[in-house]
Amino acid sequence: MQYFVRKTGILLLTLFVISVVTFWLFHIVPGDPAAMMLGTSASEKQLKDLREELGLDRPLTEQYTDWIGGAVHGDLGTSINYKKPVAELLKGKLSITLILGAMALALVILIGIPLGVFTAGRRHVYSEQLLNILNIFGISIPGFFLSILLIWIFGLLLHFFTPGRFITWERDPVGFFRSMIFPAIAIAIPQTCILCKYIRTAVVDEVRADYVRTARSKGSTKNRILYVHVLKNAIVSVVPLIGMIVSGIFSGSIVIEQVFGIPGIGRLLIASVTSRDYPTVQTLVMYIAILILIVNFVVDILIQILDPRIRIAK
Amino acid sequence: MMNAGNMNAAEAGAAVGAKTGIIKKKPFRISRKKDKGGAPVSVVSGWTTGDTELKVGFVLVGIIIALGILSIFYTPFDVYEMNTAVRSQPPSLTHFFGTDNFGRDIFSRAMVGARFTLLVSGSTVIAAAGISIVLGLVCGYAGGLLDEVVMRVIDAINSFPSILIALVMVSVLNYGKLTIIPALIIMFIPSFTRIVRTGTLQYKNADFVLSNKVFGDSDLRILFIHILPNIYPLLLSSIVIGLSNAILAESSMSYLGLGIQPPIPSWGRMLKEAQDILFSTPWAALAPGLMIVLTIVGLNCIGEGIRKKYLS
Repeated sequence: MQYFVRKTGILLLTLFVISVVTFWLFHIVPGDPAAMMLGTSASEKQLKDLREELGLDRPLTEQYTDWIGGAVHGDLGTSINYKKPVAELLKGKLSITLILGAMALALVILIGIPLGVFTAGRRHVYSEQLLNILNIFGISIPGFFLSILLIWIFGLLLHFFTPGRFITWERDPVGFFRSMIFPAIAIAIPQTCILCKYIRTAVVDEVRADYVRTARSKGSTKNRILYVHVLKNAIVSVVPLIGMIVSGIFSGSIVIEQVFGIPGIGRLLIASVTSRDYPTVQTLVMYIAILILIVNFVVDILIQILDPRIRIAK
Repeated sequence: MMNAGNMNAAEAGAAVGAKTGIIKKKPFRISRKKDKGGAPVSVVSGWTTGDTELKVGFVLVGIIIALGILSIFYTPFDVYEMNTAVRSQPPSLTHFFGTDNFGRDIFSRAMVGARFTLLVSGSTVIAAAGISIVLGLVCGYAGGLLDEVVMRVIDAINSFPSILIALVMVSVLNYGKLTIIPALIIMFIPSFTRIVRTGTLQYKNADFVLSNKVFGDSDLRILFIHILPNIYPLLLSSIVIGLSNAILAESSMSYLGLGIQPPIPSWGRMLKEAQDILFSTPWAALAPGLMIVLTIVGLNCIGEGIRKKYLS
């Protein structure tokens, strides 16, 4: 319980620091947003009016508290580029990115864990080398190149989906799934390789433990030992990785939404960066930051629940 | 001990006369093989010691670097020249990887792309490593409030998707032709600093450091002459892995149109352009894509090799 309170405190503190840093970055460094919105031909009077309208003439601390206060009430600022409230822009996009991320995460866990255990159980020299090589390739291939290969093979040659056309859930659930599954695969493959490698190492380490010998002598089958006894222990040492994997999935989806033309947060982020739409970038960065911090927080708590040994040690 | 062993071997050798050489070497060899246990070892030895990884890695990276350097003096075709006569040609003996929709030779462009991608990623990683060495050594050695603050900040940055940090930096720094470099430097400082700091903490109270302190060495001398060399293997392997991440990040950013700006060819943007013409000329993606994959595979192999050879 004490641990929980301490962790919550750290979470809030980190959130505060990140919001201050993000705010500071986007308000000090880039120059005058008013001048940027109006272009070079604007008169001094126009600039002054716009600055007043945007509240840029007030002290920074006041602007900051305004921004945070607004954000808490659901007012996320106004996009310079689209001239619309950012909250409205986010509608629909957030859910698409979250579904994509969830699909990728599901793939990573459903493939990575069994594959890792399976390969750990068969430590033949050649299969191990083959896996090593496959793993290195899996980690090394850039997501966007992988996506281009997938688009070419499954989109243009096999016609599983139409490249560049996104089908919404409301229009056609099957089409939606078809246009989402390949991006999810492209995001998942590098993360799967990483997870598979860690699981394999963890299982190989666990196999030497005493309880494995006990289970053996009791007459348990090899698979039962691996998937029931060893996996339970091995997973604990892999749970901290989930934070890293989720962050990797977000990285991946920022780029891969762009490749497949999926109208999610990543696409909006890139478009806003390219057009220097600072309020939108600022909000999106805060959004992603909060999501990742919460995931890390949940993972930390989860480790405590999963492994009583850590609780006792503290 | 060593001397005694040698003496014994020498005495034994002298006793058997002609077989001296064999007997001298034999005990050493046998004991090494026995330690690793059994026949399979000889099959996987290259992979377990990291030698094979190092070889494969150096060959791959060597080829790419050689192509990049060669492109300064010679490319098979002009990189910027658009030749309508050879538009969208599939791979052939004259155009190894075909031509794009403007009739530009893809292989030549990928060679030049190698040069710029390697230059950008190499310089960022070296700069980031330089800053991190100082930061990590000082934080680890001094400890206290400075250490606490720097590590908190690094923890916070580290938990973010790296591409997000690069994107924020690029958008904040008013991107120009080379904004990608400071953006990537900031992206890599946290992980390097953490590694250097951990290494410094490990050696901070080691006997050899303490004895040098007794001799009156200055803190600077202790940090850079005595502690730093011990961290080299660890640092080197993470620098190589960092380099592969830098190439990945640089080409991702170029793909998104935020990296190296046109008309300079870069792998990421070549892939972007290839994607637009994927239907008519699918081979346009082949050369830049393969080169990225092979470079990163090579670097990952080297990193893994160093780790296996010197750190375990």
